[in-house]
Amino acid sequence: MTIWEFSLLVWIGSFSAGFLGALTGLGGGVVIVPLLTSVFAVDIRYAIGASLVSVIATSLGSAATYIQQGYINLRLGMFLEVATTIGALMGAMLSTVVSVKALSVILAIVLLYSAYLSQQPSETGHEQLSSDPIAAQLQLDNSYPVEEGWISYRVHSVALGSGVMAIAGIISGLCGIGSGAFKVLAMDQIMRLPFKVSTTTSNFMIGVTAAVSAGVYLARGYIDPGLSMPVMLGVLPGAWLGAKTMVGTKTQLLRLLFGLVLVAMALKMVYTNWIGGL
Amino acid sequence: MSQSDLNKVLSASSPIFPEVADNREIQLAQPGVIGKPCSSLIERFFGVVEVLNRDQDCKGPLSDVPDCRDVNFERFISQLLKYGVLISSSLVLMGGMLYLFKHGSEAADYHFFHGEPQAYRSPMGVISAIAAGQRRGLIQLGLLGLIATPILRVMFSLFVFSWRRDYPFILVTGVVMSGLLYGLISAYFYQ
Repeated sequence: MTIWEFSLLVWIGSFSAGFLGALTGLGGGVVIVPLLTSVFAVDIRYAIGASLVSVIATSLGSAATYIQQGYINLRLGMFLEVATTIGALMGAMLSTVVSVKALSVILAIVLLYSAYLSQQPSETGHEQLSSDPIAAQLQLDNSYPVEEGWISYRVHSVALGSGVMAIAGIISGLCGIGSGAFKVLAMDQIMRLPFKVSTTTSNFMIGVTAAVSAGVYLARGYIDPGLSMPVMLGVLPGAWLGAKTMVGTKTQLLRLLFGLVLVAMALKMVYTNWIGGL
Repeated sequence: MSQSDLNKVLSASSPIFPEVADNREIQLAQPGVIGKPCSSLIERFFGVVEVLNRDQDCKGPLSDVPDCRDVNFERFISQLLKYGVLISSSLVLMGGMLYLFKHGSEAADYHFFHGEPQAYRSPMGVISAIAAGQRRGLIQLGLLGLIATPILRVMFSLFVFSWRRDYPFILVTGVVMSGLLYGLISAYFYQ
């Protein structure tokens, strides 16, 4: 395969991944690593490097839009970045110790869990309990836009949420994904934020989390310009188009399909790295 | 939410302070009534420069909670991210096209990990690679721009919070900034 053909195929794959990732709300990064390793037979380390870079690109692009629309809670995002940054550093350091085989298993578990989360209905209507004292102290409570105007919300369980964020950071640094599924879990389920605020604020944070580990991976030679180029240039417009389409599209079937793809890729990746050969 | 739901919540809500207004479903105020002017201590004492200080835009006719969105700050961060990604991805696209036209017909090989040459592992290396006419250097510069954009965002936030003497957030952004720098510097010496 020549570089032209390879780049074109990777571009198409990345575009679809970005599109489906944005449509289902899981993010394209989740599929990029298994796509590159299992379909294109790329070494998992190059795949992680290329995925990280594309994750940063989509995070920046969509965060710019969502900040202006008023969904993203900047103060909360910046506060939680403390946990994800420390986690990401630990994850990137750990990845030198962990073998490629173990890495593929960890990533497969993350994929399966993401697939599971993507099938969960996103609940709406969070009750207003009293605010967490830490949240009140740091002025983390905010409001978000709905059709009728702006609705205020409170932030709960800041400490526990930060703990899960640290785990999300470790996974992000270790596997080269944004680990948006875990960030949303922390904000939506534990800190009890509105779903839309959780997903968009998670997106905003992913840029910094990924940048922490990207620096480490860059120095280690994981980020290849020839491979990262079609991946990034594919995921970015794909995600943009997916976010545009999301409004008013029935996504139930898509979520299911995407979940199945994730499961298949996870199994394939483990098989490739343990038994070998394509 | 329908109008009747809205009214139900409205009738149950006390128009006083958020401390009193706890334990309610969603806190809403009468449509058309602008939220209370917001004045935290920080804003009272340090309202000087436009972008650096919190804008007094207390959003939401629906909200009776004093809730000030930091409009100028939000706008600036949004623009920073937008232009960061636009400039970086144009560099990648430009470098990518140049690279494909020169090396496109060679065989692709990513099956085995060799690690990148030293030139592509550090900012200085990338710059010297571009100076030497390496087309992939331009792609790598774009990728560096992408990594640098969130770092710039944190740096700018740290500056703004320092200006506002928002001490908890000086600490918060300071820790994140040192984490980012630690990652970059330790990685640099790791080689």
